[in-house]
Amino acid sequence: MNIEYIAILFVLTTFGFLLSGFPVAFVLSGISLIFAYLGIMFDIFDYSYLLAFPNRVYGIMVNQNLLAVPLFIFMGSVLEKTNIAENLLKSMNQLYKNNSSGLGVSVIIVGTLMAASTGIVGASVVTLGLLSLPVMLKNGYPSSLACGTICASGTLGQIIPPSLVLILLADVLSSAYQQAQLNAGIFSPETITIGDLFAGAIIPGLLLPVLYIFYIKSKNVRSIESYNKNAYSEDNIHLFKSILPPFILIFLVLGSIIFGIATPSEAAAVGAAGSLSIAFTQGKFTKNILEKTSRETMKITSMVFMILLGATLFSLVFRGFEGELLIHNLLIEIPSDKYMSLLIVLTLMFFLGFILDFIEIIFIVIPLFGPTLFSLGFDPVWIGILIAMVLQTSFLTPPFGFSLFYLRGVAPKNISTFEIYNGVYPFIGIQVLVIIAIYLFPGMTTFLPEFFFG
Amino acid sequence: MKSTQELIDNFIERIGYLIGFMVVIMVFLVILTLFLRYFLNIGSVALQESIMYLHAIFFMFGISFAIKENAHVKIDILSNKFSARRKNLVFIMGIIFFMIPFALFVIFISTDMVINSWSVMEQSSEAGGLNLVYLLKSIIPLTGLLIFFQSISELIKNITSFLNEY
Repeated sequence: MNIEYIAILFVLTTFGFLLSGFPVAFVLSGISLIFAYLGIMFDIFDYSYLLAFPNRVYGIMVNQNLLAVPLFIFMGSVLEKTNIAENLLKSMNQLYKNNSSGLGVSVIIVGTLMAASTGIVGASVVTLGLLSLPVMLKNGYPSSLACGTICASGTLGQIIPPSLVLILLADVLSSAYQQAQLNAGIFSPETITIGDLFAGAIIPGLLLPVLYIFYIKSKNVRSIESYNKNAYSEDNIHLFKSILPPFILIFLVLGSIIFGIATPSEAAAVGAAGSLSIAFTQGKFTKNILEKTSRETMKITSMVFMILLGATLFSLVFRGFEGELLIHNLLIEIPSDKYMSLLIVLTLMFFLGFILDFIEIIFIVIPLFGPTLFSLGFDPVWIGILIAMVLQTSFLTPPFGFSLFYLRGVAPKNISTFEIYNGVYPFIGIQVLVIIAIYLFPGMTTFLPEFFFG
Repeated sequence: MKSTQELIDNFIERIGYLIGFMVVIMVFLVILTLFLRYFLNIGSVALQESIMYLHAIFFMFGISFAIKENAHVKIDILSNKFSARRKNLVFIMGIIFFMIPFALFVIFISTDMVINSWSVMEQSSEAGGLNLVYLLKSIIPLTGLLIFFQSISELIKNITSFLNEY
C-alpha cells in the first residue's frame, strides 16, 4: 500500500474526531500519537520524527515573537473587564439616539475601535449585540440590517491590527517562508515580521469599515422619533472622554511598532500598561480585576499554545507519513498555474473556517501548505493578508460563521436566525469585493510595509 | 476518589492562581526593558531572558489550569445535540485515549533532553544570559506531569457524573 494513503487516512480520522466535541488540541495530539505508534509497529514510520518534538516545544518556549500573545490578550482582557469599550458604546448610543443614520455609523466606528484594541471577535460581537442592537431596533433599523452591521463590525478584530490573527500568522508564515527559501538553496533567507503584516493590513482594515459606512448610509434609515438637538453639547464631552483613551492606546501600540520604536511584544506591553492606567484613572484598578484578567489571560494563552503544541505534533506525524508529497501533488502537479494553487489553499481555508477556529487553521494548514506555496514565488505579506481576509469572511458566512453564533446567543428571540443570515450577506459581498481588489492589486497590502520598513 | 479529584483541582487552582499574576510581572519587566534601553542605554540579556522564562512557565503550566477551567476550544457543531451522558462518554474516551497518552508522551520523550541538559548544567547561548537552561527545559516534562494530574481529575469527574445520570 502506498504510504500517502495513510497520510490521507490520518487527516480524515483527525477531522472526524475533531467533531466529537473533545478539545481540539488534544484530539490533534492524541490521534497523531496513535497513528505514529501504529506506524512504528508496522515499520512504516520513523521514530525520529517524534524525537524532534521536545526540541520544537523548546523552540516555541523561547520564541520572542510569541511573547506578544499573552500581552495582547491581557490588554484586551483589561479593556473588556473594565467596560471601557462598553462605556464608549453607551455614550455613542446616547449621542446618536435621535439620529438613525448616525447610529449605524457609530456602531461601525466603535466596532472598528474595539476590534483594534481588544481584538477578540466573540467579545466585540457580544458587546455590540447587547448594547447597540436594542437601540438600533428602536430607531427603526430593520432587524436584519442591524444584525448584519453588528456581526460585520465585530468581526473586524481579525484583520485590523494589532490582532492575534496577524501575530500568529506572521510567526507561522515566516517559518514557512524561510523553509521555502532554504529548500530553494537560499541560505540567508529573508523573513517577514509581525510589523510587516500589521502594516500590510492597515489599508484593507480601514477600507472595510469605510465601505460598511457607505453601505449603511445608502440604506438611509429614517428615524421614528423626532430630532432632539438639546442634548448634544454635554454628550459630546462625555463621548470625547470615552473615545480618547482607546484611541490613544491604539495609536501608541501601532505607532511604536510601525515607526520602529518597539518590537511587537514591547508594544503589547505598552498597550497592556496603558489599559491598566486607563483602568486606574477610572478607579477600576482593583486586585479583583487584576486577578480576573490574569486568569482569563492564562486560560486563553495556554489554550492557544496547547493548540500550537498539538498542531506541531500533527505536522511532524504528517511529514512522517510523507504527507508533504501529497501536498506537493495537490498544489504543483494538478493545478495548471500558481494562481490556481493559491485559490485551492484559500478555498480550503474558507471551508475549514466553518468548523475550525482561526488558531487551528493557522497552525495546521499553513505549516503544511506554506512552504510549497512560497516556493511558487508569492509575496508573503500579500498571502498573509489574503488569508486573514478569507478567514474573516468565513467567520461571517452562514450557516456556520462563528460571529453569527455569538450574535445569536445575545439577540432577542423574536429575531429569526434567518434574519441574521440575510443581514450579513451584503457585508460578505463587500468583503469579497475587497478580497478581489487585494488579489488584483497586491500593492494594497505591500505598499505600506515597503514604505515603513524598506 | 472524590478526595483525590478535589486534591488535584485545588493543587492546579493554586498553581494557576500564583502563575496567573506572572503576566502582570511580564508587562512590568518588558516596560522596564524599554525604559532601560531608551533612557539609560542599557540592554540586559538577563532581563530579557527572565521575561522569556516567565512566559514559558506561564503558558506551559497554564495548560493544565485551562483543562480544569474547560477553556480548551472544542468544536461543538455536532456535540451540542449530545445528551450530557454522551458528552461525558466522549470525554472519558478522549481523556483515556488522547489526553493521558499525550501527557505521558511529553514526559517520556523529553526526559533525555532534560537529563542531558542537567548533566552539563546547560548555559545560555548568549553572553550575559541566564545560565539556567536546564531549568527552562525541565518545564516540558513538568507540564506533562501537570496535564497528567489534571486528566486524572477530569476522568474522575466525568465517570462520576456518567454513573450518576442513570
